[in-house]
Formats: sequence, structure tokens, C-alpha cells
Amino acid sequence: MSAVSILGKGWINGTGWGRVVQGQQGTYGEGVGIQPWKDPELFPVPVKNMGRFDTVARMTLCACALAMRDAGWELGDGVKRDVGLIGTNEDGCLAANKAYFQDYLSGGRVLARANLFVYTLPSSPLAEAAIHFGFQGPMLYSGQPGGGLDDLLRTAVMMIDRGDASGMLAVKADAREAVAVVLGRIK
Amino acid sequence: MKVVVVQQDLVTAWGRGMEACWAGLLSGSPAFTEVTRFSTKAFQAHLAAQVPGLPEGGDASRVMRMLTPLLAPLAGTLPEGTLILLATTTGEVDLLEREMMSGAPSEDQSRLDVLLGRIQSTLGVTGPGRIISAACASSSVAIAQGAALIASGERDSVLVVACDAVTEFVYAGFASLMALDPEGARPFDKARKGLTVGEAAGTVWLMSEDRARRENRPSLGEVAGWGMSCDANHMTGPSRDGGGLVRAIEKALKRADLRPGNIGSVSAHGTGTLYNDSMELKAFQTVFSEKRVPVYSVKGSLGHTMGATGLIEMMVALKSMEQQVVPPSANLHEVDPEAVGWVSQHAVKVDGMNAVLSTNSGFGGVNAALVLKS
Repeated sequence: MSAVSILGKGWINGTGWGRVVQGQQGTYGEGVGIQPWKDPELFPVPVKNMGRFDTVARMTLCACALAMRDAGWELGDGVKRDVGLIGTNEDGCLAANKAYFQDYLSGGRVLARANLFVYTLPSSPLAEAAIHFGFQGPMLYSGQPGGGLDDLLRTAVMMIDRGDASGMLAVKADAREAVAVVLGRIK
Repeated sequence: MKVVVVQQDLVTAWGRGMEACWAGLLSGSPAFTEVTRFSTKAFQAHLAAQVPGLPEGGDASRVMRMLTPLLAPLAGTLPEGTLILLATTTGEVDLLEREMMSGAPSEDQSRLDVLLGRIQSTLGVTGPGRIISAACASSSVAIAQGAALIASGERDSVLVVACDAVTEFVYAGFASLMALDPEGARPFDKARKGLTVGEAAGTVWLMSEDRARRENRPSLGEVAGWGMSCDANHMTGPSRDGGGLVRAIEKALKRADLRPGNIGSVSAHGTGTLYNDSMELKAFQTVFSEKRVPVYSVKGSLGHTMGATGLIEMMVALKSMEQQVVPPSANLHEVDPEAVGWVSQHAVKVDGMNAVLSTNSGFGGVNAALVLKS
């Protein structure tokens, strides 16, 4: 059995995007690049309800799509995969918590909005990605003070090694930037 | 490397400790009370499973008021290098409520890493810590992660701390999803209409069997297997056929090197929502097709304690094995036809029960299963 390797890596921020293994990148300047969420290569099947996603969920999906395409994976084939998702970020879901509760307060503490409530879990952006891409492996948020993608990658490798899933995506996603790494064994 | 539980403690709506919790569960009654800390007038339900007797006032969050008495006896006793895993969904979100309702400038005191820091400080440790959050499977996923680290030899001591509180933030959210049963959660009941929000906190200290033996620590049970999966289906509803949960259970059984016939009872997630309970029964009927096992849910008694639920249910499952008794599913009046022959309103004596299954599922279709041995 081959060792677990990085198969693809994608990133997105306020000005551009990249696919690291394939050495591709683009910016959003006029005529220079296409925004990932509008790119039919990345999202051949439209993301259901993406309009109601919070920003971190959108960034998570874009970073995952870029990393998967970088790894040469088919997107939009409707196939469910034995792939897990592990994610982290700086703030958990603090911004989503504030947005949901402010909306509830503004409405007179009578009715909360379910569409905002569902993002008040740190794992919700990962869940949206799992649903869209058909990832059926483990899904968890793993936050570590001062920790970044390195810790996440180590955990993801261990999870593949011990058979939790045949592949993993490790994602660090905030509202301004996101990076995702596809890990698996080279066939 | 075997993973054993060397210490555990909890506080639930039945009060502090397992004896109070176990007696409450055996009573078959719900520990639900009217919510008075905030107004529920606008919501369809008014009950919650609330921890009694917590000190009121002061700046501390509700989860820290639950956790401090559990953590204090552990202070100074954890070996160096013990990994602290915090499992929660919303943590100290009541601090955010206070802040936003008072209009005070944001200090972001409700961040989960701040809570982890408070826990480490109460324990008197500066070592490694992580926040594990996987919706309502958070603490069973944290147990799985901790057990995996010990089994692989990477760690030999992991403390899992789990907590979530009844807050207006959460209550209003579940109300917005129309997920609350006005009469209180009735898992596996024909007339069930939803869940009851609950609160709890707990600690489970995991250790390698070698280290526990070396240090003459008692083994309260073994975490023998674990499995995790995602339905990849819907944000708030489970897959109808239970396929995701089946995959998690099968992984857990495989890791424990056990067959379904070896399992003596199942602690179900059993929220009391129509779809969750139905999905679980389909999964159990698939896995245990050759031999039925007693299935129970504690949520008709303890409420849905969210990020803490997996940890609390694991402790109850260990107690169940120790007592060789499967606790009743509380607040169950008329068993759903799908659940007949699987769940009971009464405690069931089961001799020779030395392996049990505990499962949780949550938003986003996350599933986790733990196999525990005595």
C-alpha cells in the first residue's frame, strides 16, 4: 500500500485563487480570471442553496473544489465518495453566531431565522461541502490555538492510515481566505 | 493498544454525578422543567432539561459553572502531556448573548479557544488542547479521536471535556426549526414531535491500558471501537434509510473486532424528532438483522444536551454494563410501531452484557458510533 500523499491543494482569497500542484492561479481583475464559484469546471453542478450559505461555507466549498480539481478528481459526477473532511479556522463560527443572534434581537426576540441558525456550528461549512461533493467519511472541526493547517494535515494522514476514510480533505477556511488539501494514496 | 476509561464525572439535569443520573434514568421520568431564565413565550415549547443548583450571578458562563466542580478535583493530577479535547457546539454563547443584549463592545469572550483556555487554566495545565466540534456528535467524535491517538501510541493520556448549556440562543434556534416537542421529548414514541433542549457537562479521562496498569488506575471500561461517517445528504435532516449510521456502526464493530451478535444493548441518539428516530431504527434493523438488541434513549429524561450528549451517553452505557441493566426510554407512552420489540419504557435486566454500542448523529448528516467493553 502506498504512503498517504498530498494529491491536490487549492486556495482562494479576496483577490484570487490557485491550484498548487498544477501551478495554476488567477486573479479577479477584469478579464484576468474567473471567480471560482462561477467556474463551470469547478461547479459543473450548481451548488444547491449557495445563496443562503454564509461566507465561510462559500469559501470552504470553493477551496475544496479547487483542491479536488488540482488533484484531478471528477467534479459534479454525483458519485458519493469515502472521503472525510477535517476543518479549522481562527474564529470557529463567531461571525455566524453574531449574525444569527443580531437578527433575532432585531426581530424583537420573537422568531429566529433557521437559515442563520444552521451556521452557528463550526462544522456547518464542512457539512455543506460534504453534501455538495458527496463526502461520506468522517466530518469534524478541529480547532487548536495557534494551530494551522500542519496540525490538520497530520490528523488527516492518521485518519487515512487507520482506515477512517480512503481520502481526506483538510480545510482551513475563514471569511477572507481558505485553503484546502486533498490527501490520499496514489493509485 | 487498548484504550481504557480511568476517571469520569458529569452533571446533568438530575444533578451531579452518575448515581443521581442513573437513579433519574431508572425512574423513567423526564427531568424537564419550565424555562425561566429567558422568555419562551414566543416559542412552541417551554420546557428544558436544566442543571439545578448552579450558582447564579457573576461573570462566569453557564458551561463554566457546570464544569468548574468537575474540573477542580482533576487540577494537578493530570500527567504532563495529557491532551485536552474540548467537545462542544456553542460553548459559552451566553457570554455573547449578554454582550449583544447590553450593547457592550465585543470582546469575543465566547470564542471556543477562549473556553479551552479557561478549562486548561482551571485544570492547571498548559499542555496541548484541541476543540472538536461535529454538531451533536461532537463528544463521541472527540472520544473517537482521543481513543485513536492512544491506540496508535501517539498519546497515552487524553482528557475529553464536553459541555453545552440551555441558552436563549440555542432554544430560539431549535424553535425556528420547529424541532421542539411542547410536551417534552418522547424518543421512539408514536406521537413524538421533537426534542427538548438539555444541558450537561462531563469529563472522561482516557488512558492506554499499559499506563493505567502501571499507575494502578481503575479501568471503568474500554473504548474498543469507533466509527464516523457523513450522510452527505441534507443539512438538518438525516438520510431516511440510515445508511450513514450503518457505515459508522460497521466501522466501529470492525475496529472492536466484534460482530453485531456480541453487542448487548444500544444507546441510541434518540432525539424524539420524527426523522432521527425513524432513521436510527432502520439502521439498527439493518445491523442487528439476525438478533434484536435492546435500544434506549436517555433524551426523554436528560434532554438533548447537544455537544455533551455523546459523552454523557457513553458514561451511562458503561454504568449500564456495570449494572447489567438497560435503562428505560423515559417519557415513552406508546411505542412507535417501528420500534416495537426494540425499545421499552421499563428497565431490562440483561445478563452477560460486556459490549455495548452508543451512537450519535447531528446536523450536516454527521454520524458517530462507539463500541464500549466492560
